[in-house]
Formats: sequence, C-alpha cells, structure tokens
Amino acid sequence: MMRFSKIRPLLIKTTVFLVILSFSTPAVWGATDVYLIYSGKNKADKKLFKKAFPKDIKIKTYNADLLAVADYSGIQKAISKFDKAHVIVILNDRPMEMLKGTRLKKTLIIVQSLKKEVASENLRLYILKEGTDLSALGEGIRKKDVASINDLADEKEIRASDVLLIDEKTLEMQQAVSQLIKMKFGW
Amino acid sequence: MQNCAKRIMLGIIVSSMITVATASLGNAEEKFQISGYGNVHYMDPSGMPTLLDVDDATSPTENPNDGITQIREFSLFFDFNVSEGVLASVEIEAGSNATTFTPNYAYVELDIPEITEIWDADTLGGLSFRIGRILVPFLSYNENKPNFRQNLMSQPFTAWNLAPVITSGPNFVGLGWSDTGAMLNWNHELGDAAFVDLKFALINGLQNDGPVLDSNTIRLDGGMMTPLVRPRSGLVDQGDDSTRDNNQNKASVAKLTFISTDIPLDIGFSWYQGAWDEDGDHDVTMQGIHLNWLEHDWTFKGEWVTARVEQTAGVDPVGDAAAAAVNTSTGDYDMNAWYVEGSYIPIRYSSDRFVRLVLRYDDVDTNDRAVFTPFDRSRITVGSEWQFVKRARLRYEWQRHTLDDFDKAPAAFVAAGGKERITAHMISIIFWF
Repeated sequence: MMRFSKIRPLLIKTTVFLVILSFSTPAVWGATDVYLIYSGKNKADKKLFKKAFPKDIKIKTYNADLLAVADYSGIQKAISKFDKAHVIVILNDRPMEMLKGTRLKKTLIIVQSLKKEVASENLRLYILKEGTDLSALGEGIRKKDVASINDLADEKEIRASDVLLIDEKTLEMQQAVSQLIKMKFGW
Repeated sequence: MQNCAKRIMLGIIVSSMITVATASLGNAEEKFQISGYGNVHYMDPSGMPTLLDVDDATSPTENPNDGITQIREFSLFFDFNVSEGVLASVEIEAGSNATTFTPNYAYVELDIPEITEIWDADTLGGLSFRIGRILVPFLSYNENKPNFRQNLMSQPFTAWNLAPVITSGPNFVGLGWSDTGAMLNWNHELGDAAFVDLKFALINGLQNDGPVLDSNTIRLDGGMMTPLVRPRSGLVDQGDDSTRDNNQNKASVAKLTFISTDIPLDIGFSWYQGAWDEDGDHDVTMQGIHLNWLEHDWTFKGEWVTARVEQTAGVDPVGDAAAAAVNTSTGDYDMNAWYVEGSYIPIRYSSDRFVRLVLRYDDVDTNDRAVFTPFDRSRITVGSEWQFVKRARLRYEWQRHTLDDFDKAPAAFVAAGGKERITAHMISIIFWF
C-alpha cells in the first residue's frame, strides 16, 4: 500500500515542474491560426495536410477519437479550444460524427465529408472531389469547380459557394485547402 | 451548504488567480462558454419496506412506495479559457427538486502540448494535468452520467452500489463521484487502428470516520418490530461533504482505455486503492472493466466491478441489541456488480428525431457475509425514449428488482412490507443545451 507521505514530494515536484513549464516558453504563445481535426483512421491525411499548410501559419491538430474518452463536458471544452483559431478544418466523416450537434463560431472547412452535423456561425465550406454526389447536402447547393490554384483567387466567388469540387487530376486536395489558409479565407 | 459555498468560492479564487497571473504576462485571451442539461421525472416504485425515523421509532418517514415527481438534476457547465492551454472549469448541479447545489467539479487544467513546445503531441501523445475537484476516472459511467449521454434514467448497479456515482439508501447526497485531487491524462495513437488513453489521479478517496465504511442505518417499520439495521447498501462516500481527507493516505485511481479508430468501440480497465478510516489502516481496493460499442442505430455497453473492503470484525456500529446479529461487521469482505445494456433505434424519421428501445440487466452483491441484505439482487430494465425535438427526449422505463435469498429475510423486513420483487415505472423528460 502506497502512503501519501511517500508520494507527496513527487506530486509537489510534478506540480512545480508543470507550472514552470507552462510559463517557461513564451515564444510559442499566441493564438492558433488553424485547428485541423482528424480521426486516427485518417492520420496519414492529417500529415499530408499539415505538411502542405504555409509554414508561417500556427496549426494545432486534434484527434476527434479522444472525445470517446473525454468526460461529459469534453465536447464543450474541445469546441472552446477550436474556436480560438481563425479557421477550423475537419477531415472526413468520423470527426463530424463525434462533434454532432455542435455549432462553431469560426469559419469551418469540411474536407471529404457530406455530413451536416457541425454548423458554423460564420462560414461553412465543403471541399470535395469532383464528381461527388451532393444530394446528401440538400437542394440549392452552390458549387464551384476548382482545377487549379488560380480558380481560388477570388475570395468573393468562394464565399458565394457552399462546395468546392476539386479536380484531383490537376490539384491535390491539401493544396487547395492550403491556398485557402494562405489567403486567410474567412479569418 | 457551507461546504458547497466554500468549494464554489475556492473555484472562483483559483480561476481568478490564474486569470490575473496570465493577464499580467500579457496573455489573457478570455473565452467563456456555458452549456448544461436537466430532467424532470415521475417514479412510482412498489415492494419497498416502509421506514421510520432513525432517531424516533414513532415517526414514519415518507413512504418509499409513494410516487414522486422531481427535478432530479439541472446542471450548468462553465468553461473559461484562461489562456492558450489553460482552462478553468466548473459544473454546478441543482438536484433533489433544486434544494441541493453541488459543484460536481471545479478545476484548472493545463494542456501541456498547447503551452509548450518541449512536449510534442505528435510524437509523445497528448498530456494534460488537472487539479481541483475532479470527476473520479473510474469505469465509464461516472464520466458519462448525464442522461443525454445515456439511454436510461436509472443508473446501473455498478454506479449505484459500488463506484459511488449515485448514492443509495437514506444518505442521498447528489449525483456524480467527484473528489479533490490531481489527475494526469496521457493518450497516444497506436498505429492507425487504435489509441490508448491513461488517466491517473491522486484523490482524498472514500472515507468514513466510523468503525465500518458502509455505515448507513435505517429503521424498519415492522409494526411491533422497529429495529435499527444496516442495509449494507454498498460504497457510500461519507466524506463527500468534507473539505479535507480524514487520513494522510491519498487514494490512487487509474483508468486505461483502448479506443478503436475503425469501429466506435472502447474498452477500459479501472483500478482504485486507498484507506478509508481515520487511522489509515483499512483499505478499499476496486478493479473494474468497461466496454462501450456505440453505433449510429444501436449501442452495447457493459461494466463489471469488484471491491474488497478491509474492516475490523465483530464491531456493531448501530448498537440495537435486537438486531446485533444483522449489524455486526464480519471482517474483510468483497462486493461485486455488473451490467449489460443494449439499445436499438427501429424508427428514425429525420436526422435528429427517433425512437429507441433499451434493455438492461444488472446484478449486485454488497453482502459482507451477512445472512441477508436487500442489496444482493438482480434487476431487469426495459425502456424506450423518443427524441421528439432536437435536444429533448421523452423517456419511459420499467424495472423489476429480484432480491436474492429472500427466504432468509428477517421477519421485520417482511413485516415492513419488503417484497422479493420491487418494481418501478419512470417517466422522464430530459433536455440539454
């Protein structure tokens, strides 16, 4: 049986270490620009996107599978974390399911998912492969075909769209999203 | 209420101190969020023994078989983003028809990779440190107790009689098992197929200043027989309202969970150990396993837990000569409980409107080798819920408890109206926002 008197010095040292650690690296402080939300299943995609994003942009990633073991206010805590960024990028279906019923305050870019469960008070833009059946998103969806970076030059035109359909023969998905981040779309 | 107020004040003071500290360093980015949930329900049990006041054998208590309508819980969650990676969080719960207010948790959390580059989450995994009044990371139910995260209103026996998420018997003191302490939470991806999550906490732990941990006492209303007896209702945290531990021995709690990324399945192992008495000589040790498989249209959940309680044999904490044989402790003993629960949605008529059917089976034994205890029982629960609008559900459930070894029940229990089978109907409206 472990006595507290034996653990106490370790606990105190750990606490002091963590507090010092918290305040010891001010260089990394500052607002997150982009939150990239993924699931363990799409770890490879996360790496591709993170690598493609501009280097001067501060990116944080979040594995949405963690919500399965978070306590009952875990989703609210995660949302408050995401909303500190300018833009939130969600990759694929699983994170959309895990965050079902939530409403983000910031611009939301949804990549390769037709799910509607996560809303945004600002902008919500779907990025999908060319040829994707859009019927799940309902009627009146405004779409824009994108074959090159040049097609993403006009922010007004993108804002007038609900979906960007990417021609993957000429443009990679992560390059398209990276370009939106670079032009600070929806910040 | 004084303790409750003290805890709230402590939460506010700690949050304020961190805010001031970070603001003075030029890094305060205030962000505040509120959400919550609540429920109102009607319950109509039958088959329970009638009781008298513990201190007055001539005064009957409210008949436990009378139907009741109550606001069982109304909780508000407050989260304050103090700074990048620093979160202050508190939950205030109004329970028992809003006559009790409990801070279920009040803590500060440091998200280590958010606040320092020294710890790289991509290679080392996520790491957070939480300190204050925290939810005890034991089994799955306690961290998922709000009814919008569950399919039934009633709590499984694993959370009712062993892990003290909801207390049973006469000392009902609110919902949720929380305690003062600190917790480290580390998680790491295991390839593409799974990840592992480990929570380790040091808390004050379960406690009781009396000679036995399970010291609940009731007085049966058996006509001429009105004995004071220990119902042995299981683990109750008698120290819940204390502001400090009753001994110098902190309890250790750990939960290790594996989460599949291919299917919505998580399986975990929980462990608890700590002394409960003032001298720190007697331990409670618990081990448990949980499983959650949560598909879109069906769910399967289960928990199993066993507890070993050390106590001195031959002690009668009640002192009623007529019931000494029932009340005297029998030394160290084991308890166990388990449940399995399945649900299925046969009707879904929009993305957020559906009808769900639920079936659960529980079994519990809190018997410290006494001849009979009413908490050696099994239960079957059948329920349904209808999400009729977004974020609100109507629930109905029926449950039947069967007491084991009822032929050994003392005459006073039977005379008080205690039956082998207890049934209950529950109708509830739940909401969350």
